[in-house]
Amino acid sequence: MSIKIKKIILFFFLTSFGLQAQIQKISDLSNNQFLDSKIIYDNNGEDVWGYFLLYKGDKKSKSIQEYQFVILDKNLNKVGSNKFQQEFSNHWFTEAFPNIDYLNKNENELIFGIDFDNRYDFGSFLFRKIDLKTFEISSAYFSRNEQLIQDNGLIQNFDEKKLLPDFFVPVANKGFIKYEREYKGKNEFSSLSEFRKADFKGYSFYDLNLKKKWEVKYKLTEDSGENCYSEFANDKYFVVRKNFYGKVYKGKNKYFYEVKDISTGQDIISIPIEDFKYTYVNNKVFIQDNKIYIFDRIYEFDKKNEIYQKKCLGISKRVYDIDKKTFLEQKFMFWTDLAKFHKISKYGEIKGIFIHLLDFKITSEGKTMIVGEGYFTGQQSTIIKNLYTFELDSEFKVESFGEIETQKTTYSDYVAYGDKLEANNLFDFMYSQKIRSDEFVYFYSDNEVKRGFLDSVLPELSELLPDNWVLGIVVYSDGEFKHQKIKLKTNKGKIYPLKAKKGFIILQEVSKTDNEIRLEKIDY
Amino acid sequence: MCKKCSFLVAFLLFFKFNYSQEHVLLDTINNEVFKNEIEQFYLVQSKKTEAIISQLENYKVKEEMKEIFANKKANFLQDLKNRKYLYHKEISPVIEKIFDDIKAKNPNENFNEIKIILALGEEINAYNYGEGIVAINLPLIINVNDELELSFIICHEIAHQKLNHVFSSIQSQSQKGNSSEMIEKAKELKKVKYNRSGLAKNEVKNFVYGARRFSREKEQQADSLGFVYFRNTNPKFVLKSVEALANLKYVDKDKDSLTSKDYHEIFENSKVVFQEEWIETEDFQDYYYQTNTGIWNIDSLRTHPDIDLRVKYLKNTFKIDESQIYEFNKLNYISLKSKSKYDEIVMLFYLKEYGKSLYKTMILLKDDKENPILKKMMYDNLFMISEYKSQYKLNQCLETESPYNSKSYNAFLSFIRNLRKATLSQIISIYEY
Ligand SMILES: [Zn+2]
Repeated sequence: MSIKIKKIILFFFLTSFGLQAQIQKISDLSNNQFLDSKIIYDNNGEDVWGYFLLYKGDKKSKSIQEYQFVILDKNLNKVGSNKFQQEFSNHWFTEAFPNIDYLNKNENELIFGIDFDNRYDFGSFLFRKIDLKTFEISSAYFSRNEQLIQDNGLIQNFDEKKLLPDFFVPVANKGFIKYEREYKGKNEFSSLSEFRKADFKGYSFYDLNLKKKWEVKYKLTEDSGENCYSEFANDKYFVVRKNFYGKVYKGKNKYFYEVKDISTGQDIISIPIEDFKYTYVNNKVFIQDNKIYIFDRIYEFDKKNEIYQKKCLGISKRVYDIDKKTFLEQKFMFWTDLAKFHKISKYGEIKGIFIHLLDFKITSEGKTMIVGEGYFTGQQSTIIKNLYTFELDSEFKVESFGEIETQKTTYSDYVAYGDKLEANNLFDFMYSQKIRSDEFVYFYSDNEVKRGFLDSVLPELSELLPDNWVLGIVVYSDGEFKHQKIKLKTNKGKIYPLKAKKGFIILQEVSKTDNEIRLEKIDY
Repeated sequence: MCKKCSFLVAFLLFFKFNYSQEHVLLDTINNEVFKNEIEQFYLVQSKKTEAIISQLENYKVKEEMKEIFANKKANFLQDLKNRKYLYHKEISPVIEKIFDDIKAKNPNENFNEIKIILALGEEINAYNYGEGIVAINLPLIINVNDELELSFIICHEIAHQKLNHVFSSIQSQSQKGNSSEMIEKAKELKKVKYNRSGLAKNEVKNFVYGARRFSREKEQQADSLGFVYFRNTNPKFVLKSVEALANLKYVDKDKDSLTSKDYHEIFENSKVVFQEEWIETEDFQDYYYQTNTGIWNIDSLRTHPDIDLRVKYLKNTFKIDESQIYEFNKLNYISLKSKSKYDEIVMLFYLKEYGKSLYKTMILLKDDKENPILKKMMYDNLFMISEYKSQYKLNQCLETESPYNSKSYNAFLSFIRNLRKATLSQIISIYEY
């Protein structure tokens, strides 16, 4: 049978009676080879605005490849598309198979950064801007030694080594942070691993146009910074969690949250982690309504600052008012507070497992909703099992504590505690969403093998999904947690979920001949 | 109440009365006689096609054509079995009468190898399937103004058949596909690892059944020959030909809508308290939609080259006199149209387009709250919607909001999705029978 006939037969099947016309078919959007996709979030980063899809077009010459992008709105209607050409050379990105590594919508401008072959990790973005009114696309640009380089003839002018750009970390939708490292006699770093080993001596903030806006420098003679840092931001504030040790701190580790004005870099408030009653390990920190919420796990105080993973007592909640620069409250929840709901030990052991808290939400009445997941760390393996839901009143007193049974996942030859499991994305929990005021939805995969492909329209991956894959949905509404499950193996093929606008989920049903995309409302 | 209004009321009442008395609702149960007749007809036609194909010289083209037509046949017979084509006791005789008229007034043409059949399909469309089959989708019956417009559309489609356009289009595609240029392209396609089916689908869509299914040239041929048939049949009403075309431009516009007041009224006197926020919908102001995004539309009469150009072409070629206006009695057809709205709802339900069926039901229901058929359709559609919703398949039977929809339809789509489980079952219970 010739290729052509196969095509025609396929078409007849597809148009046969009873096929619903409304369902979006990804293949209808472009004739080109699909490469990658990413979710476009709205300006404040809260809700899905649309989807960005990248396709490979024709090869224009030996060193020029054409690409096509397609933009969909949050209801999966096509908004617009355009083509662009990218120069490449053999020693730069051999396969020319780019991933979208950065995507940010700011008003009517979409900035995307592509990274070819994942060669340089983040920081190596080659940026382009798309005008969301005309779909015109800029030429590529990047930053190198604090200089913006915009050139169509990038390849001719730079050799591979010189192309290594500044290492940027995107923050909120305002810009980027670049951590400054001590060169120790070198002029520049030749690789990311070398960069990571170097001492942390400060950081600078760059706006979306890669212009340096402000910088912070630490005195390395007095303070030593650790190599590990973390940061987050919203439109107004930038928060960095830093760990210092040195003379000033008499050899002890000191943790701070440094809260700054994101547009000026001015210090607003510095929050120490200082308590002689407990040892704190940060669990989650976020800003909501100009307040900073800090959730820490508490352990019995240890002078040497050592933490005995299996001796966690509970959690602490601290709230600071950023604008007023004041401490508002600190509250505790001990595992023993849960005893009236389930049999639980002082250190949080419940049916042989421990709970790692993954998601915190504050309601309009000041209640705290928490979702956590059970794990057990053995000598040679780690087990993950069951989801836990907590509802705490404004005084942080437990109102409800529920257990949702899930299939047990065992990682053999792998020993890890909660933080590491979370960092490596090994929990079943996927993400949560605020549907509307005081209504939340939580997604998790209930299966033996964790697959969290929730940020890309990449149906090919669905073949990797295990047959017993089930999408779990937990909804908090009307003051209670309810849960339901969707089977992701169907008689047609497999379903592959994708993050959607508030209160919705996209389900891509992929079979050998078809890729159907549905936007489904969470039914509760 | 003024006289005019009271006449209108009486008129409407008459229809309603008439409806429940006489109208035979779309019967989706197999009509064996009809089915057998059409099947036999198609099998005979298909034998002839096979004979013609076997005469073709190019081996590759011949083999490919054989395969395409075998599939086409299987597809048609399957559709016939699945009741996509059926006999309607009131609508089918009207179509037959129009066709008989055309036959009688064009005695020199042989139309014996053409069957015109009613088809279930949500598009306002008629199409020539080739091999003697002309299908008229039910919504077209409702959306033309009168039987003369329908007559012109039938003339156009039978002209396509008489000119053998389906066969010649597929043949030329196949010849093109087996040309050296296309073989090169196919080799390219083979290289593409991902999205194989996507490429194939688009290729075929564009070539065989795309928005431009027939070339502009073929459309003009069909318009010209169709016009001749039509003029012979209705010499006094030649102007209706261009009117039929012009009307097609507007059939997509939502003729009726559901307002917030309508929702309130539909749910008054029930336990359900309608909430404004249920019909809050996307305003799409955040997006600048590229106008040429090329949202694919299945072959449709109105996307045929360009209606305005076609109207102009007919007027110029046949010197149509626009001043010649004759009156004629449309009342029977208007009555049929009005009754067929119920058939359309049943059809959409049958096609598993529960969202569209429900929307059209609600539009009719707002002025006819106690109509038992509408109440039943409310229940049936809502029940199916709640089933699909709980299985996370709602999108299969309910469209998503789109900037190309009317505001009223988008509000309806939001409404269905915004209903919480408990509210939906409360609404369903209102219509339980
Ligand atoms: Zn036509």
